[in-house]
Amino acid sequence: MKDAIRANVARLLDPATGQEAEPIQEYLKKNHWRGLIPANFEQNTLLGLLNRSQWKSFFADRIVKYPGMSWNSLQCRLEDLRFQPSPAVVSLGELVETARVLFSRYEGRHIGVQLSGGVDSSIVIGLLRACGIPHSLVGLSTERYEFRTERHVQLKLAEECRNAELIDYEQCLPLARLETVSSHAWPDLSCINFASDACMAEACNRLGIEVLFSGSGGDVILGTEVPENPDDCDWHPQIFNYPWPKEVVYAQHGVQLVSFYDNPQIVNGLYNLRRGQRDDADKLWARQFFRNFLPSELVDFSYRADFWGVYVDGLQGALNTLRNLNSRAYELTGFGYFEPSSLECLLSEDLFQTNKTLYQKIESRAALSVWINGIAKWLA
Amino acid sequence: MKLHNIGLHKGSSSFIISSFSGSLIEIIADYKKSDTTLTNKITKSLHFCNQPYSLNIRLIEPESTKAELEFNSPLLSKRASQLVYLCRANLFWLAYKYISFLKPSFEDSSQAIAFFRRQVYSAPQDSLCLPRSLFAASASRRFAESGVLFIGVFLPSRSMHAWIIEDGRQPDIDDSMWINFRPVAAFC
Repeated sequence: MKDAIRANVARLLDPATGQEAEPIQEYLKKNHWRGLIPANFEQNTLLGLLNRSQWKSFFADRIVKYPGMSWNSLQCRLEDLRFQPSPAVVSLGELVETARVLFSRYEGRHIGVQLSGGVDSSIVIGLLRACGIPHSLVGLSTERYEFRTERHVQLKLAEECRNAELIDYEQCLPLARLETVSSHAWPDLSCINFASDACMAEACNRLGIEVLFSGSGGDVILGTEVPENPDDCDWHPQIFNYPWPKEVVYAQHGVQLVSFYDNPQIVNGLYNLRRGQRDDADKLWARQFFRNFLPSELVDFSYRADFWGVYVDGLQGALNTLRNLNSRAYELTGFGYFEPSSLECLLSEDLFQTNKTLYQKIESRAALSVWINGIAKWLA
Repeated sequence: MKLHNIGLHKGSSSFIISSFSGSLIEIIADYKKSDTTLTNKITKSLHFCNQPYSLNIRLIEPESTKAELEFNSPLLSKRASQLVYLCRANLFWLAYKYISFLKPSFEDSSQAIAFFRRQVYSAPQDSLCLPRSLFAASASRRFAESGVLFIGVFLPSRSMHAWIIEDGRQPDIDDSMWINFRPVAAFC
């Protein structure tokens, strides 16, 4: 196993100057979790990953700089670099060629795609097929009623692929296996999906997949408004290539996780093809434009399952683990944030109602507790 | 119109809809008192719910079809408002009995729903699914022959939703959430 703390690509900055500070492992050895500001981490969770330029530092004396961010010296804060499109006339054929160039970077390596049954990853699969590139598929599948269309598409695509594995999502719901998360350099909300990422990475190993494409970011690139003026484009595709699952999960299994929709040439092509379009949450344009690459169910219908059900059941299955990790975090840090009564206050709410803020607060505590427990193990 | 409990079982629980209050009732026992004699119309419509990609009319329709209905009818608007009032007051039994006395005014449910969405309330109508569906069921000429109104639950939450399947199609093109709800009861 690689050391996920030493191998991390994020950097620590001095918040006063924006200058790079010591390596994160040195900082952690010296300070442990003493500089942690849990309230800021929770606030960042409520803001969401797409707004990470607005995040507050969750270390009192350091800022974590993720790849793709730069220091704004006027405002003394980190911000995500904005994608700058180059206007051009792009055809479907040219986009396929761009995809072919992207895929050719991994020539000689076994390519896989995350098979969600949704339109974003199915486009990637369709393009690989169009380019005649052999690939395998790995996905999470569930018998839940709301996922019946995704399941149908998954089975259809899996049947057409020689090398595919569908994992039972019920065995790796959100918040599952938190006690087994590897020690990692900074607290990160991505750890709540550790189990599903770990199961997929393990499946990649079984199938021999070395490079795994995800459809992460498709919601933004294919679903949000696209301004006519390239200078008004507010896309930050580097966010889709978020380092936590790459480093802490997939890299540990020797798998390279790649987001198809963070590639600048692909993003530029899609910008030009969608230029001037309004919000398209159902991705109707993409379904039509890529109709020859997609199963008919994804072209004709825009169904999309809601993930609330898996989150509700995931939390129900993780309550004891969550309490244990939180208590241990309280013992280690003494932070009032981790007082068991504080967690119980949240858990006393009706957890079967789809209250996003409540879940974000619980998940924030989970991520912080997991990190502190992991750092304690690492230091020991 | 009659309410038929379809029989939704999950683990040791069964779910039914109270025909009086419209509430979801969970029975922690092996409750098998679902309607075993579902009509052919319900069975067919249920098939479309379970395999939504087999619906006859594709959901992705041109913008122009959304604007097919522009007429204004104070009487129909009043009828819709009364249904909203009854549903908000939890007078479920009264609401579905009330629609039994109304005469259809639209060719099909899609027109009735378009009317409800455009002429009755312009605000987001996520919470008005039941009065909207009841209105469409009462106002559509096609409903009696080939329509079923479903009430479903999104497990494990207790969120509920109402929608219509008519002539093998889901007539509300602005309703993208119905896909998450598992049918518990059917009206027809």
